[in-house]
Amino acid sequence: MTDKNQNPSSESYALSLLGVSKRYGTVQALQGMSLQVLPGEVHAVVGENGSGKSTLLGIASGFVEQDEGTVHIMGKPLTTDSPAKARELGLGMAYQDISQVAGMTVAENLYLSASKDARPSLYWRLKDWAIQILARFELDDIFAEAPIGSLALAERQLLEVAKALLSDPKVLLLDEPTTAMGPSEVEWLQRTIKEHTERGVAVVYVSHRLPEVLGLADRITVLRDGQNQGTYDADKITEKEIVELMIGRPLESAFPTRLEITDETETVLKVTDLHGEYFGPVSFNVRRGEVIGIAGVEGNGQGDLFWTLCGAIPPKGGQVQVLDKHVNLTSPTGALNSGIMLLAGDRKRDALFLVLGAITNASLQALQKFTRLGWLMPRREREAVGAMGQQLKLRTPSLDMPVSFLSGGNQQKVVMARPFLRDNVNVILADEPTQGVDVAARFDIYEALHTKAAQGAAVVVKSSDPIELASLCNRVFVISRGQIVHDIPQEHLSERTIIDAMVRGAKIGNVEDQFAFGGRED
Amino acid sequence: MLKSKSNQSFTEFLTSIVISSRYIPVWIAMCILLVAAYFLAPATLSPASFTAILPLTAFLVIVSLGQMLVVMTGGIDLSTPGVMTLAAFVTVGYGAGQDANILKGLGMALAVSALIGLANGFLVGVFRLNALIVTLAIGQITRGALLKYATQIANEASVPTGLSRWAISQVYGAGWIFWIAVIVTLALSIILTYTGVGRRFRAVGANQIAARISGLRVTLYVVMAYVVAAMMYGLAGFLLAAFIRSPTQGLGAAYLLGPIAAVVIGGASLSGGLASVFSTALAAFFLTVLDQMLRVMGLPTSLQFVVFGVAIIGGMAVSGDRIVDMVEGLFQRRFAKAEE
Repeated sequence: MTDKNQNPSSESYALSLLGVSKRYGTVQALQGMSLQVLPGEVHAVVGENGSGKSTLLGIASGFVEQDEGTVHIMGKPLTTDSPAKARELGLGMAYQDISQVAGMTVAENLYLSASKDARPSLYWRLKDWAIQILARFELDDIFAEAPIGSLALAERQLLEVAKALLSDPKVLLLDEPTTAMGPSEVEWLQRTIKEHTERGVAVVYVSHRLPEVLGLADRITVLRDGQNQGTYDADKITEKEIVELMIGRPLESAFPTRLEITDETETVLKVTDLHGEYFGPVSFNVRRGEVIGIAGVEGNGQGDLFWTLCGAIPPKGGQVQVLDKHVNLTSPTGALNSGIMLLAGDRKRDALFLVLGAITNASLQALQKFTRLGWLMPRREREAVGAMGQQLKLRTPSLDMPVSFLSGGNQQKVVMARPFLRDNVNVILADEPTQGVDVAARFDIYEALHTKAAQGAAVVVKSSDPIELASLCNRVFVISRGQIVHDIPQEHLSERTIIDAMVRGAKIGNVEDQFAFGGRED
Repeated sequence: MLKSKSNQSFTEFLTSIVISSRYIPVWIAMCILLVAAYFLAPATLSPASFTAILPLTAFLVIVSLGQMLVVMTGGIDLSTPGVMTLAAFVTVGYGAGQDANILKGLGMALAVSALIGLANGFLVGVFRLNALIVTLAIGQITRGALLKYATQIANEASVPTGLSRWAISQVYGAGWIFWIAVIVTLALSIILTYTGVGRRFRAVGANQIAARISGLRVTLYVVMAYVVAAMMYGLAGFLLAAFIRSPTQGLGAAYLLGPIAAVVIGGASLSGGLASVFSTALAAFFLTVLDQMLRVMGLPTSLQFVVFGVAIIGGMAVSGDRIVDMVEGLFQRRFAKAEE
């Protein structure tokens, strides 16, 4: 740790969190976390999904109440979990899941986030007031009276930052502010941040785009599994070192090596002109051992594509074949009998039997193997599930323990055991396989998916994490408005290419809206 | 991680506590009740008293286990009294006083019950109607059918004498009816614990959405729960008719609240999936003994009702989901630590 600015008093810090812990059920989201941000510095917080970044920001901004520890803003304690109090103490925050009211206009949204005395006194002055504000932030491109819904995602992110700055905060929290931004927007953000830090504003910048972080931040704090992995001067640490701190192991061993897929490799899953209410028609093939990623901005039909492929929602048309045999998609039973197995994303709702034990949960789809003439063979079942548990590094007090007591990662491992226990699973549909899963377990899950692929299964992974897709898949399909708009092969896969494709994909559909609001040909 | 052996067996012990915690209160309550009966009304525990308690327990056990199956799917069945009474009358009607017709009477009683159960199951499982209201309505329809059917049967008509003699004959120190309840209890417990069907049924009860996505035929299991439950009410109605020889139209009335109370006091989760056959049977025994004790103590009927109702509410307050929430709260931290 190279924290040179050791200063015992929390008063000299703009934002100071000391020994903060937070637990949700079995998940320890934060553990004894401390973060001290100096006035005028850009302090980046990096960590993987689920490492506790959001919880940390939630506590700092008064949205989430910590179990232990203290929060000081500008030397004053934040004693209650009140966002209003935090704002009063001088804190502004731009949220990742953009906090704008979709049905209202830009001006109305700005009005909502301004403090009382900053608001225009009369309603018909609202438009002029908003135009002034947008001009102040050099966002003249955005129309004050445009409905929020008509804005591109990147514009909404710009607006989110402007909103956070409206109350002239002394501490500015930015949660993944650039996920949808292109280069010019990022440049705007960097300029804006610089202007404010020069005036002594402290900026906490949460992102997993490391090159950006390294270029912008003065200091970097790395989070993993809710714990502080140290605070470092940005000019004294490399990107590789940060990644290894984030994932807790050398980069080389993080993701399993992908299998080589050639044109000769046998096709397992063949989807032809499949369409449903919210997607399609889509056509693609997945070969033996191939891992296909499905990316896209949430709500573009990827979810329904998965539900249709697993038989939960019948298709409106098209064909699905597994090993050249037609798949009956009218029920999950039909899909399963053809060897298609879904590992559902909402585990608690769609995959797990929370009150039942790990054995029952894992073996349910393989009961044929553990019954003779309808009678269970409990010992054989226990041995098989136990062996799978060892292979997947499942940690549970007992195989009979109701899975509601297990952590997210271990719950996912119980689900992950299913395709191994059942015979003839040819296609695995993994929906957000590592959501809510701690880092150590994530790599066990990747390993398991890869093992299944190596055994000859076709694997389709739907994920909102571009790093995960870029490192795990042989190909990634980017879906927008229900269509596959980009097919990125392995040699071009990176976090950047996926995000670019996602953002471009979302914009293609928005062309008309842009023209409607004056065009943006420049 | 769990390395040392003692630590391992300790967590196994904790696991069994967590799993069984919802079923423990009824066993404790039973012990307390027996002690209370010993001091307050020792006559409750006399052999003479038990000859009355055992068959009554048997009826309640069979009906409660039927109700338990429905509760395990997250539903509830209020058609119980109607089905039981109709089955009892069908036994009398098709028995027609002839010993040769006993099996025909049993067969018809079970068939009619199964049909009513099928209607319940179809409306709840396929049409997704609210179980509480649907089964209440079906119960009402059944009652209507009963009124019509009862007019065809002579007022004093009774079951064949062979059947009523069988019902009160003793084997191994208890009546046949008691042994049938024991067999039903054991069989159901074995099916639910040791067969693939039982395992899948539990899964369907625990989470219908996940069960459907896992490829289980959820609707079939839900419908079958209502059918099998109704057949168990029918069996109880048949046995009850045999026991009292000449059934009345009010015969099933006592079996509306009793079985639900037994299921809940027995620790079942009302949201489905979890229930224990033995705890439910024990809860049925508990309720019967409690009822008997109140009688022996000579409480006025009005007060008996009140005490009985209070006991059921008290039982619900300490059993099942509530106690599990409490135990979860206590142990979750401990297990999370054990994992680290």
